[in-house]
Amino acid sequence: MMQLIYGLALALALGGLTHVSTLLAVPQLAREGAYDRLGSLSADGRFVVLPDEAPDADILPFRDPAFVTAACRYDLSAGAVTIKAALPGTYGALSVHDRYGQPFYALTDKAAASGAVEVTVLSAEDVAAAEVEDAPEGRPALRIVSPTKTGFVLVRLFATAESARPGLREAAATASCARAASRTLSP
Amino acid sequence: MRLVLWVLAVFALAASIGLGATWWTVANGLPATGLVIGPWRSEPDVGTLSADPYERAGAARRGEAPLSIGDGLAFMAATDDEGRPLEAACDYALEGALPPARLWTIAAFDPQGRRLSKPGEEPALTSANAARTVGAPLALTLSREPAPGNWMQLHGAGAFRLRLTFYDTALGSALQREIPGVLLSIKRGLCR
Repeated sequence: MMQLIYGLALALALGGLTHVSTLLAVPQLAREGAYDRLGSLSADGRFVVLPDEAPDADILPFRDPAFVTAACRYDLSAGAVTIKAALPGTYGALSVHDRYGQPFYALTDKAAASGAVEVTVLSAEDVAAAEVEDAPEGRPALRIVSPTKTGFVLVRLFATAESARPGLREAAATASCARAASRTLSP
Repeated sequence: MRLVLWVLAVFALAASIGLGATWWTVANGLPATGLVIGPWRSEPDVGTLSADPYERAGAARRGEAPLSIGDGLAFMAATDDEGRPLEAACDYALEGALPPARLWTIAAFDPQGRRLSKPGEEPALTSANAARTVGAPLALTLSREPAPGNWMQLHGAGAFRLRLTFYDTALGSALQREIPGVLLSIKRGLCR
């Protein structure tokens, strides 16, 4: 009897440990995360507008169908990436997600200067170098540090009516997420 | 020999408890967390850096890209007011007041997250296309058959989910003083 109670207690404790460790590993092990799903769009280093017709409309589950969405996957291993997007005043948002789909930065059209936003995403190692490169004049760049080397950016524009969709799709497709131009300092 | 069997049994039990708990919580979320308003349920922390491991694992498993907290807040409903699962074969009347937000949208999905609307239809009811009557609460109708007023067409016969999203809202954030007691009530009508 004692042995049974002891065994149950041990199984519960070990089960708790198993639960915690497997739960923490789920984002790494999930094979169909948002980043992987966007891989079928060939949206690496450029924005691709997600289709609105089934079945490809559901690449990202529970995506709000009232929005036109464009996605771009970035890779910071070769340097920082600059994202430029036009966000119309009817509601547009830009959100930056890490490798596991977790958002770590978002802007809406209220933050847009003359209808567009520009954000530079960099890895933790590149921060100091980027500050050195900043031009002394002009508007300081908006910089955010990505927790993971890869990730993706979504540009979402609200369609007030179905007739607004073609124009918004064009606007979303003009967004860019190219490698940041780096200035070299003269010695 | 008995000791070996005992150890094996303990290990098997531990593995099934641990993996079972992980599987269930990733699929269903923790039962007692989040913001619950009537049939609507939301996890405001999922779009922040303080998202807990359950929310992170659930979002990664579903393949979802959660809304960031500064962007919007999404509520999901899988049942009506009386706790019956939502069925596309039934009519539903939604009524109530919505909290202040710059924009709201409501759309229907199947349990896997695929949209229910067909091409060429308005895919969602939004603050831009819904009609409001002065002095009356917002009323929406969900049905497979056309209905007057704010109507969203349902398709098929299976279970579905409703996703109500507020954009640019203080709801669910540290800025909101008061959480509304009710969002939209979901009343089931005729089942076809």
